[in-house]
Amino acid sequence: MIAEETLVKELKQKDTQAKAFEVLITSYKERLYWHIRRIVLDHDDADDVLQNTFIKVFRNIDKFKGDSKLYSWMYRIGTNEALTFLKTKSRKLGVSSDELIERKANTLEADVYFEGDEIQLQLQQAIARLPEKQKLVFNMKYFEELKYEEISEILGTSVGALKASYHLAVKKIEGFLEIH
Amino acid sequence: MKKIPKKNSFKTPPGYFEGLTERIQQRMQEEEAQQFPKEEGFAVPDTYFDNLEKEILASTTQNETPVIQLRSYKKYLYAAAAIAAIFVLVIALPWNRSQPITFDDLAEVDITSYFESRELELSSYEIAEVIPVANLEIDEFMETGMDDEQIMDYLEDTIDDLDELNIDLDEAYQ
Repeated sequence: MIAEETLVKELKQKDTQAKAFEVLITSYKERLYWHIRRIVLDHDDADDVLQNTFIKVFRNIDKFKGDSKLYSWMYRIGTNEALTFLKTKSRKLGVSSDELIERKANTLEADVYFEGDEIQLQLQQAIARLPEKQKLVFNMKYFEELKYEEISEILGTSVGALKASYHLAVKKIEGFLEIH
Repeated sequence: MKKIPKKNSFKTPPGYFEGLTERIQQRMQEEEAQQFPKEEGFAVPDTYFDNLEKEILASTTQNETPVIQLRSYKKYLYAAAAIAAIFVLVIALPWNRSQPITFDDLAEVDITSYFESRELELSSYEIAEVIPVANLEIDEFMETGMDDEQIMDYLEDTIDDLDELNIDLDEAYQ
């Protein structure tokens, strides 16, 4: 894989940016897709947000100063895009983001692109009921297996606070699964 | 959590990732094609900008002709305003009030806005001397109770590093 610094440099130069953008998409499309998919839950919305994310990354690459890793910056953009997408969509439907995501989780069974069994369905429903921050932390830690330091760089939250959020999330999910 | 297999239950349409790069590039091209033209359509007379500095300089160096008012109405306006003020004062003053104003006459809203709008320069110790905080329960001045999650959110927002609090999370959540 091409070194991150080289890729950033090529993305910023007019004559190399088209090729570098292709490399960028190829390198990060799956990781970013799954990160976004776990926030918005259905494929069509995830595809929309993923494309928006890459376009935003491409158009704002000059603003990337290298203070964090490129993938952290992209994850941050992807996360913000996904949350903004949910807010916009929920506003149009006249519900809150939390209600929208709960509705989506409750109809996952009918989604042709969801193939989880009963327990996995319940797990998604439990995650959907978590507050936004805990939801993000849980998915990034449990499914994406990111380190707390990496999550901290993406979400701009201290490691201690992330650990607390993760523990609270696990407690709540366990509580939900016990009842159901 | 160990009981739940860490399997990804979501899937994508077949070949979704293969065509992704092309789809994003095509979308960017379409968006660029739809962008508004850079040309606005406004035009200026020929040589407008060539003479602009001269024209502006010429207008600033012209001698200003003083404007002299033929008749001044100011003094009549002052007199009218003074009469109106006296009239308002006469109506507004409570001439027949028999009892002096007491603290009870003040509306609660006025007291609240007084405290909100003024910097009272009272230290927390001075306030504590007046308000018997020690005899109050936290529920008496909070409308809603706080649960663990709200406390944790508050700490997240206000404390840079929760580790400094030395919370033993495993113990705390047992």
